[in-house]
Amino acid sequence: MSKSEKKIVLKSLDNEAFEVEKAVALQSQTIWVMCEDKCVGNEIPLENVTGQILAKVIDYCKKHAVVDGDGDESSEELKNWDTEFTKNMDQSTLFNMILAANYLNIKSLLNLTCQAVADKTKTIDEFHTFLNIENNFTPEEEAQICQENLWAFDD
Amino acid sequence: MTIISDLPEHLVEEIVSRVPLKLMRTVRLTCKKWETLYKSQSFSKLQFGKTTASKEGESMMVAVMDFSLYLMSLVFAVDGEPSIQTKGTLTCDNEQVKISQVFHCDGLLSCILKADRTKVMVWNPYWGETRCIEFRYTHLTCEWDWCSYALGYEDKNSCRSYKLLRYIDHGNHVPKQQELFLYEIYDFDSGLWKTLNVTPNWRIAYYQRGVSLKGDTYWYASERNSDDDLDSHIICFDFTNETFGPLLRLPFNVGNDDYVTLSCVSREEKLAVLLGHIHIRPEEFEIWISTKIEAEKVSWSKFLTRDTRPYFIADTIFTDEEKKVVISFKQDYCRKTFSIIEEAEYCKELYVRELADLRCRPNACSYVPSLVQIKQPAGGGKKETQ
Repeated sequence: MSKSEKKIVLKSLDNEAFEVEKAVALQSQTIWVMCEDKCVGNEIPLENVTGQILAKVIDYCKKHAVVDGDGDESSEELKNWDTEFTKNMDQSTLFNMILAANYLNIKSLLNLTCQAVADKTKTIDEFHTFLNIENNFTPEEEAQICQENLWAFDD
Repeated sequence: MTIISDLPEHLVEEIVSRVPLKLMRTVRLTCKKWETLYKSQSFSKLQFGKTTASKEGESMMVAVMDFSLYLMSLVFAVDGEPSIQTKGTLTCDNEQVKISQVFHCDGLLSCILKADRTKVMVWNPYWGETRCIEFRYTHLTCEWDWCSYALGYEDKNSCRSYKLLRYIDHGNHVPKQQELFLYEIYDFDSGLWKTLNVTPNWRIAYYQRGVSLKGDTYWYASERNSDDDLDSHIICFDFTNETFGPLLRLPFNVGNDDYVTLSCVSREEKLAVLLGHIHIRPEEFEIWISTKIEAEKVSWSKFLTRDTRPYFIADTIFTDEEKKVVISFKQDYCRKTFSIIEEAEYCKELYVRELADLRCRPNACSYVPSLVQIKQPAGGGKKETQ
């Protein structure tokens, strides 16, 4: 296999091009199917993902491709890397990452980003502010739900 | 700026289903859309799979000790030591709830409150939802609650209709001064109590706990007019027809020195019955498992016979048919401990806790989480708050 066949170019929505190893890109089931179909050349246009998000997705895939390949990093280290990876992402970026992981069909990245959003929200206020959701319950409805759910097994 | 409402429904479900169970109430209170999501079937299944995926060999149980209700996990590792762990204690709004009896059926727990004899709470620990059922007659339980309770269901066009049986029967060894007799049933759909017209030819000692099996409840029972306290029968209450079945013969004879303990096996599909002895040969016991069981007939096969040292009175048993594991709670009055004995190739005692209040007879039953949502009574809202 020549050098060019091992590489693939991913083109974002805003026309940013990324040259990556095929092994890295093929973690995306969507790209894998596109390559299988041979309906594309070496350049794959990804119409739903911006360059800013695609760069992050590629970072993730690079990290995970290396580990899957020669296993020189422990799963513990990889887990820490994942935590760091999502730690400082703002809410909008996380949602875009979720959309991208879903579109590109990268299961582990989808799990990671969905879990990150779930972990960042603990209180009702956090649910409201972090997730931009408006509370549309009347006080009576709220009291009713509270009343129905007072019992719990606590630590 | 991308916000959560830009995400398709299935991705919102993916996120919300990862929120820990403890925060489900918060999730429900976030907005109406999420409350609807929480109640949807597809979401329930998604969430259920993520949060109840348990370790292999782990089973859950609930236990009443010192009038508190505990969620416990039992792990029978294939090649390791068995272990027991307390996972949580029942609280209501951060206050501990005092419980005197618990009954498990299909992931629902009926809890008899220690301090409040006017009602029973039915709870699905998985969702956190409760339903308060008020009694019609509260004079039955003025000093001590001699009533027995059983939760069951009737299959009605693919949906389960839950019912609660409550009875007090002076024939059931209830002290003579309590000349009381009442069999009544509460229907969760109608929200009404109804008195059952029964003429018992059986007797169920008040301390016998029923076991829920496929929606019906089974007790160890004796013939009402026999002189012996012990007899070799069980009886079933059929929640569909709301009637007691005939006395069903156990596969062994029960003598004066013997005791019998019932439990269910393999996710409530079969009944296990243990025959033990109190004074003579207390180290021996045998367990039988039903091969076919209905309200009106039962057949048995012998599961195992054991000779255990140290011996114990097995007043609760957990049986795992495949792994041939039997465990039993044991009360040691001297040390005031409540321990567990696992019976596989060997016998092992696991310390659970010191018991402080011996008036509360510790008891436990297996618990299998379920997605059952407790219907609230028509008209919504309860008359009073717990």
